[in-house]
Amino acid sequence: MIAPVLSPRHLAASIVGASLAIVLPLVGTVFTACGEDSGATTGRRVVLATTVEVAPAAEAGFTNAFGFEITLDRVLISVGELRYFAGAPIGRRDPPLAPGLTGPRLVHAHPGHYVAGDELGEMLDPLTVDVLAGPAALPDGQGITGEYLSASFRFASPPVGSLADDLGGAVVLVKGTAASADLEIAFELSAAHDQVLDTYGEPLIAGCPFTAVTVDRDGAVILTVDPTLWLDQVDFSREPDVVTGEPVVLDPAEVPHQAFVRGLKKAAAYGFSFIPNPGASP
Amino acid sequence: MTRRTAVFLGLALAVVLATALLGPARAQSNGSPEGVVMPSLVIRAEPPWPATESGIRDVVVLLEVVVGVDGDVASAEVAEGVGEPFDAIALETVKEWRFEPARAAGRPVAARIRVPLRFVPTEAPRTEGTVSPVNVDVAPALATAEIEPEPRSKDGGSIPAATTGEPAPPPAPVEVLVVGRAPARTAGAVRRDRAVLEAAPHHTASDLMLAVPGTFVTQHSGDGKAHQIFFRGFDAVHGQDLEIWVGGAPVNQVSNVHGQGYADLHFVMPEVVERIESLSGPYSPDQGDFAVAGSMCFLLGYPEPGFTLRTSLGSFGARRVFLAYHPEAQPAASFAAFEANQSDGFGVGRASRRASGIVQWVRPVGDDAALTVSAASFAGRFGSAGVVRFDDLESGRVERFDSYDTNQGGYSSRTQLVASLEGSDGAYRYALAPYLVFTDLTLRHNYTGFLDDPVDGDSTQQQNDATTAGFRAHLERTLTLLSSYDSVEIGVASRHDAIDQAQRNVRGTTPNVSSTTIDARVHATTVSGYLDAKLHPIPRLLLRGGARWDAVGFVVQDHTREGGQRSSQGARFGPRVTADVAVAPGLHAIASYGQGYRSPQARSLGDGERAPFTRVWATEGGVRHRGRALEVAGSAFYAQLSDDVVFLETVSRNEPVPSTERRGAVVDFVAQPTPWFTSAIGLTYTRAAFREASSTYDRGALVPFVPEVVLRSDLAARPRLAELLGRDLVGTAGFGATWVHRRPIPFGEFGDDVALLDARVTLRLNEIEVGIESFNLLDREWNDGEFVYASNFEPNAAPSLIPVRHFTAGAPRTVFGTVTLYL
Repeated sequence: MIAPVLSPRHLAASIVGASLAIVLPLVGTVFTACGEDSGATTGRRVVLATTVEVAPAAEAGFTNAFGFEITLDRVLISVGELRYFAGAPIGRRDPPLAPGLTGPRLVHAHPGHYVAGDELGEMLDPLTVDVLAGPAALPDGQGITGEYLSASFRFASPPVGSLADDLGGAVVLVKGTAASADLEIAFELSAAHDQVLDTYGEPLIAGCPFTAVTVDRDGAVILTVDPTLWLDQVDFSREPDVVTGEPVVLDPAEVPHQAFVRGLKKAAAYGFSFIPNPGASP
Repeated sequence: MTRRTAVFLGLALAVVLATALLGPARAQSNGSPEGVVMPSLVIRAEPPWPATESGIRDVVVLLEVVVGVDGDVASAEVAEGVGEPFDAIALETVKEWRFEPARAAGRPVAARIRVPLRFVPTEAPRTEGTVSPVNVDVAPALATAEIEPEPRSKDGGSIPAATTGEPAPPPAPVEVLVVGRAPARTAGAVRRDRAVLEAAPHHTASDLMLAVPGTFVTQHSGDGKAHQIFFRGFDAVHGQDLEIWVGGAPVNQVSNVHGQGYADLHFVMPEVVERIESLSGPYSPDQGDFAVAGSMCFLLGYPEPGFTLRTSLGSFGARRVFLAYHPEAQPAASFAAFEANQSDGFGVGRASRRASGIVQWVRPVGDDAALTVSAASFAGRFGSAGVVRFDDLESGRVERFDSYDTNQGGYSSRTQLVASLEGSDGAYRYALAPYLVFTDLTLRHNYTGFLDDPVDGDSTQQQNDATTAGFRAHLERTLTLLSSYDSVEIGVASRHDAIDQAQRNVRGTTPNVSSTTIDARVHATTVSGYLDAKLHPIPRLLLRGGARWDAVGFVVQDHTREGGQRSSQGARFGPRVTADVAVAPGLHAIASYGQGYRSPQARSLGDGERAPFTRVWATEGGVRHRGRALEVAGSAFYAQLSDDVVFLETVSRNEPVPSTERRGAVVDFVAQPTPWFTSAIGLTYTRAAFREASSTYDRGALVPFVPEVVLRSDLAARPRLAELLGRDLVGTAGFGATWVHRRPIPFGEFGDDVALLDARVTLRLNEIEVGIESFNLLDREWNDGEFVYASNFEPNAAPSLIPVRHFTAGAPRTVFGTVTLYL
């Protein structure tokens, strides 16, 4: 039942075999432990500083569609929630790689549908700012890494902040002068919460363009408000009882104010962009 | 297959081949090398049966002894032990044996041989050739022998052989069956006996799994819901990646509404778990559904003879009663036990109560078979605090142990009946085990507050009632194929699950249902067959493996839609093989490869769809050494899944994700140098990553929630302190320490490390024992679970949709005082 075998050759072979048995799995472990994984789960939460500024064109003065040369003195906005999405805004879709060769095109009913998609970032604390006074810092927002393509802008009501009282109950106030060949006035335009509601009854501007960017680190979101789009279709000459050289508060029931409100609801008037923090790492 | 996988497989194969080819071909089953004469026994002493032990069957301890040139036993150690006091007596007895020394070329030489020592019960007649159902490789053990290097005198000459006189005739050969441990199936296989399991205190049977290397368990939703199990790089959640059996019945539930493979072990008291056998990966053909990361088998028993009455009082209003009875003349597997447990919980909404009972009886059937019958029942109700946002904790809005919604929690019950017939008939061994299981689960939870529904909230109620009937059977036959101790096993298994399940959204704190998302009746049938061969193609090389076939069929009656009945079926084939090389006595190099599967959620299948199994390819290689007092194992593994699931908080269940992989290594160390000291340490390192990308997960990103490093140490000392009142005063001091490092959670973050110490001290004076147990002795602040997702716990508020960190609080220090009477 038993058989003795042992020789120096067998002893050496045993030692070699045992050594290999121990060493090779360890080598295998080292190989397997050095995998190609990224060392972390997908995505990352980021801090998004938020700044509001006015479009340079509006700051310098501009001419609207009715030929009025407009100079702005004050632009107060009650800024509410800002949310950033992965869905592309209307008008920005990736062109086909090879038109006519890549199959049927996706057809949109005019003017197309905006699908916000997943929310990637947000700033939820309201604040009233005067964008003509220079870039205004809003409270920090937060988000996650990803490709930001669109955003929504909400008017906060009631307004919050040290300038809130200056709004006089409105959510936006614009003061300036408009001049044409035969008319020059100092105007005041404002819009209340009820006047900026969307079709769902929310004071929300959806589908705002976010300059396409892949956010991979902390940074700052810049909201650029463009009042030139608010005032582009305002024909100040159609305001009743307007007199050259006299200041005028545009009547919400009249056509010029309605054109202003339509301008307020243009998504293009609220542009978003992102600047990564120089020292932040992805 | 990736390059790294190929490298790993190659290395593992190299281990096997190298050790097979380079090792000495020393095991000769018949005859001796030319010119060699083996030692022959001259004087034999029979080992006395220990006075402290009872028994009706012979016990055999296999020793490895070195016979010197003088014929004396120069040294001896236990090769296949059965535990104390048998091992110690065997070692003492064999020292009295005398041999005619081995001779090489006519000269006496030292030889290492294996000899069996047989203990015969004093009260029982000697039964020659008694067959035990325990699986042990006897023949290879007896065939192994080595010649020690020939001793030399100072001048280099041989020491002359001692004169032994006229040798006595050798004893008549006896048929010997060694009762001991079966050889490990894989390099990563783990066995944890009662000595280790009892080192630290444990609340539940799930907690016992902590003693298995690579395992970490948490309980994020109340003391009554199934634990969340992390095992060797897998977030098995409630059991989806870990096949669990208790007392012969499967614990994993097919297509449970809360999670595939849901496995609730609350019906088992920790005291009645005799042993946990853990098998890594799908490397054995008898591993079935859910054996993705591995399998765990809980073997039940209670060795304390007579009646046991244990009462415990502890922190936070905890009360527990444990009753048990074990007939003295019966094996430990025959017992009855009962537990009643309740607690106010360590924080808001955490009260729980449960009761369970288990009876198991083993009766011999004829000479060569045994019938085991068991019944278990459990019912429990529990509260759950749910999650807390970190930012709310930091702002002081909530306390650490608060709850946003105290209506969370649930109810669960389980009743199971098992009968198991095991035996042998000549060259055959067989087993047949039918079972019947009834389970019931009701859960209510709210992970997201008022995120989806700002008015009514996001409370979700899940219900799952299942009846499971099935059986396992196998027939093994010893054959002479490549050696005289080869064997082939054929197994058949089947189970049928009839499940009623529902998931509903519930309004606020009311029981009113606002909508029903799942309402279904599911019938799931699984039929499996496997072939498992054990071959010895060359000495010292053991090849084990075969293949497994599984077919799963589903019928789903979906009550949420008209004509919602649909059916589907799928089949899966998986080869599995293990190569085991005996490098040296007690040292084995083992490499394994296997394919396994996880069945799909039935309700996710379309009519006529071919059931899409999650397939797993796994390989493992490593070494194991088992000596008399020390057992060490080290292994590395790689596993690849065709697809996976990850817990998604917003729907309160696991959702499909792309293909994933696991790489890791495990070191296991168990020392029992004396009968009164036990130490076990397991260290596991794993990396779980995505192999493919999706809209949510990047290729190469880590799989969330899987801890990378798990370290566990169990240590206990049970010294006899003194004699008092004519009785032994025995003390016990033990602890279990757990360290969990780097738990990846979503969005590139890692959860806090966990470091816990549980300890117990007891004093026993025969019939009475007093003890103190403490969990989280150092009162470490730790998080049971950590998650990153969007939530809103303020009704009617504009919600943030950006993910934030949440946690479920781990228990603070809890202390129990225990008094036990043994009657």
